[in-house]
Amino acid sequence: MLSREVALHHLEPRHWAGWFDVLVPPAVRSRPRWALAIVDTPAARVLKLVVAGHDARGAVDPAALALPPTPAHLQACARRLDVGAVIVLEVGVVAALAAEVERQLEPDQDAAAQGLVLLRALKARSGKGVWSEPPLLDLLPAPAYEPLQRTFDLLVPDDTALAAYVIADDRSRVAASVIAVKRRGDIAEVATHAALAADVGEAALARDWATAYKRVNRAIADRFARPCVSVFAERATIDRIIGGPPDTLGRELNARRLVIDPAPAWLLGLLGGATVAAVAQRGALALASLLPQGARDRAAGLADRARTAMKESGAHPFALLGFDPLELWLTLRHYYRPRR
Amino acid sequence: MEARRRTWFDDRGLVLAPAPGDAAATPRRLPFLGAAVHYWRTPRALWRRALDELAALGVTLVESYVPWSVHERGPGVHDWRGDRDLGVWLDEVAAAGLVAALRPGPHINAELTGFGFPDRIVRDPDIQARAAHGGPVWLPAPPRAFPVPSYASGKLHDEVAAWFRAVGEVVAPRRWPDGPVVALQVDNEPQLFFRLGAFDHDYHPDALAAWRAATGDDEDAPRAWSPEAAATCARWVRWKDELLAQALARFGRALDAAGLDGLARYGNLPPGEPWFTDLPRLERAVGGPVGLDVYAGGGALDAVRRRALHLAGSTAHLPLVPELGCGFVPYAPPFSDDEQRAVTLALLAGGVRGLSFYMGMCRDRWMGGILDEEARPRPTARWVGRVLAALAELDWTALRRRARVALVLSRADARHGLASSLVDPLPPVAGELLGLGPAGSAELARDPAAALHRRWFDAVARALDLARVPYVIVDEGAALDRLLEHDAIVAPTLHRVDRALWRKLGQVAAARKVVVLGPETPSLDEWGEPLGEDAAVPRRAGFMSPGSLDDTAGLAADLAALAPVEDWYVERPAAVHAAAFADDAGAVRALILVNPGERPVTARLMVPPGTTLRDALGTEALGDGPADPGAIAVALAARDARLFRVEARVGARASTADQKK
Repeated sequence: MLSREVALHHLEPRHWAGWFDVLVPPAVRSRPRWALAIVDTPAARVLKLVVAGHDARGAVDPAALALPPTPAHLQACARRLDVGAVIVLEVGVVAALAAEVERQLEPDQDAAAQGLVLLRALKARSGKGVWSEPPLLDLLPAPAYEPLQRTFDLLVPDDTALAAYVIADDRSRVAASVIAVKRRGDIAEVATHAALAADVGEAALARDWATAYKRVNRAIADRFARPCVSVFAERATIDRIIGGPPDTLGRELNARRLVIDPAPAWLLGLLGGATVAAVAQRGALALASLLPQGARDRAAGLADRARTAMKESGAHPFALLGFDPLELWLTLRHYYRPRR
Repeated sequence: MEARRRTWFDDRGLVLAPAPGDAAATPRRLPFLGAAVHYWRTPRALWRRALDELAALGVTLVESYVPWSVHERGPGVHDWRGDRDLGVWLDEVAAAGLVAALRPGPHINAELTGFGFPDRIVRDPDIQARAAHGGPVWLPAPPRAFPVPSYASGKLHDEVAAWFRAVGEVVAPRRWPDGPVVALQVDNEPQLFFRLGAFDHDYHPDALAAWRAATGDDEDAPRAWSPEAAATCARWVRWKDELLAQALARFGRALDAAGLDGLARYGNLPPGEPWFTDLPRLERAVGGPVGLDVYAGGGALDAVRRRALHLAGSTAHLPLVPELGCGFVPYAPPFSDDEQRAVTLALLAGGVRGLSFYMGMCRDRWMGGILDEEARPRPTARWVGRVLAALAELDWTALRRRARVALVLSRADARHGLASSLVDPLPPVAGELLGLGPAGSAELARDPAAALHRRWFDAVARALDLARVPYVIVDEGAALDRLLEHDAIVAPTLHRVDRALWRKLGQVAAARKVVVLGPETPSLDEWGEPLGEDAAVPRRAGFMSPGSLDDTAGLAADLAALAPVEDWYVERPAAVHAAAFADDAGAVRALILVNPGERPVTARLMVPPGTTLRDALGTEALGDGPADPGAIAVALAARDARLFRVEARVGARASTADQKK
């Protein structure tokens, strides 16, 4: 997925910083306080409890964490210490993880494959040496590498480019940009708009991005490769999509506050499906309130079976993965909502 | 090998010997104010333009890695053509009126896959470092984790020697004064590939053989913390410092053998706290300054200044920052130009006298830098140019900050803390980055002295700052002379102390220097053995009281007695630091103010009456007035620093750093 010789060039620091602003959850950006505990569960002892992050206090009274590290105990500890997250490690688990992971790594493995080795090892110890609140390890899927690569190959043809632009809300500048080129199965080249700045001036693009994006696509085709997916949006649009109901995406597309052009068929299908589903769900919710509980349960079961059947038929673009990234996103997206 | 010294370091920078036979010529001094350019990543057609732009900006040298993996086409086969033509690039450097420092590794990093080691090297099981679990040691460096080599591996050293010979063929004829090459860096950021966890690695057979030879012990090295074998565990941690030093010395000899002798040598440490590396030992191995690389943002100005104080207090050569972040890797959020300018000034405030901006020219796997990828000046060039011009105008390397007090950094407790870490083999740098608390990674040590000692060290540093006592940080491994330079030495001590340091403290006390210890009187050496005949407390030593740990103001009041009040200090706010730099005659010529806080402030700076400050990077001039003689209000942005040229107005009394001696 990622070439070992990937070229990262023309990286405009301001645009790159913009991605950290967009992609890193607000709760992480603000360096929240969190707690780390090292425990000896056989002896039912908390060996060390540390409050880290913003205004870190360091080691505190271990009695703030009750064992065993059940979700209820971790939540109580988080409240007691006023921290956003609690991570608990069994003493010795770091060494055991290092040994397990390092024995499985190979020099020819893709970076994604190497990362999945670590994630699988961590997940295998979730609840058995590694505990956390919130339980992120349980949320994150760890598919095998091969289907991940095959899905990537299916969705993004070789010798094409992916582009994403975020425009500042006042349309004075590009807030974030990235152009990635896939060759021989891997992302082989990554740049920002700085690579195209001589062809498409940043200020002019930002001012009139809803039409000027076509010039960007042409420049990408000339300089890199034919675009496969190009996404353009203003910063506030991204916030609305993250914070709003699931059909916000479709509404922003319709309103041209979000442009995906070109968009391959699988993406159009996916977006259309998600939008229709979201609208239908809204209507269904209204209708459902009029139905008895049994009928509602049967309807929900039917919808679940339909989704599963679509995945198993191979019609779903993420069928090979064993999980639906959009469903995962719906689970994770509340972490991206601004903290009140 | 020739015995002739072509270039060397002194306390101001590089010294370049005249050509042999030129009896009238004298050695030329050259400040180490450089910028990095990666020739192999720069189209050859742009080499000269980039070098000319950097020369015009005021850099005195350019530096580049010479990456093994980029040049090697197979064992013994090297490609020096096209953009890889190092010889021609060096000729262009000379033509641009510049000189060059080269870094042939073997460790390069430079965001190269495999950190510049050829694939065949990192895949060779005989060369790979060994973890405590017996397998290879992987460095998770994008775009692909790779198994790191062992610096104890004899086979690695043989391969490196062959690589250096290939470099020598190109570079030896271009050594100063025959060519522009004036300095060589020995290896790069030698810290066991950032994996300094006590029982992480290196259990390579050659390393274990060296350990057994060093300890005279037939037993294997420890692979996990054991309270019963605490001394052996701490010895293992310290021995890895020795392993690194031996490897650097061996690389140095290989450079000599490759015809690259006679040139100034230097080294660099990766960014981080000074607790985990024996800088003086590495300097002895390299035979020149070992500096500290700094990549930091405005939120780290206090830490940056502290690290510079350690460099200035501990080096036997030149306080040097071989890589000063100018731009950043694309795997982390970038720092702004304002932040990087502030960090640069904070380092200078700590006493740094040599630096190299990394990168001078943007390149693959990097963002930012002084020049863009087409060798055009980026906005960064504006502040870099101003800083370089100001340093030249001030004759910066001739100026000194007088520090009457030395704060001793003792690693005995930190070593036990590392050995007893509850999260071993997690590297301590990870603990520091995670922000675990006031004691950093020592928060997770089983040995409670590690965290407590670190808290004492920080408390003393804070108290000295609060008391406006200029100080430097002197490493426990520094030569006795570095301690004797100061009027007073403060060494926070608990029950354990490095025996050699303890003896040195006795010597400085005997030289009638003030020595302050405590809160505890050490009774054990660094291994936990009784001090025995070394147990005597240095004569007339004062002791800090246990309650001072949480009473910074009280401790500051006590420590204020160690040095008379200087002319130059910030009266308020307390968080703003001033550093005054004087010339040989003692006249203060430059002043740097650092505001590490999150809010803009107006500092009340106390100066000799009749002083004018001129912003060395801008146009503003500030002076005290008749209504408030001897006080100047200086506005500072949040997390910012300012450099001023100091002038005495006509009729005002001379301002000297030593007037109140």
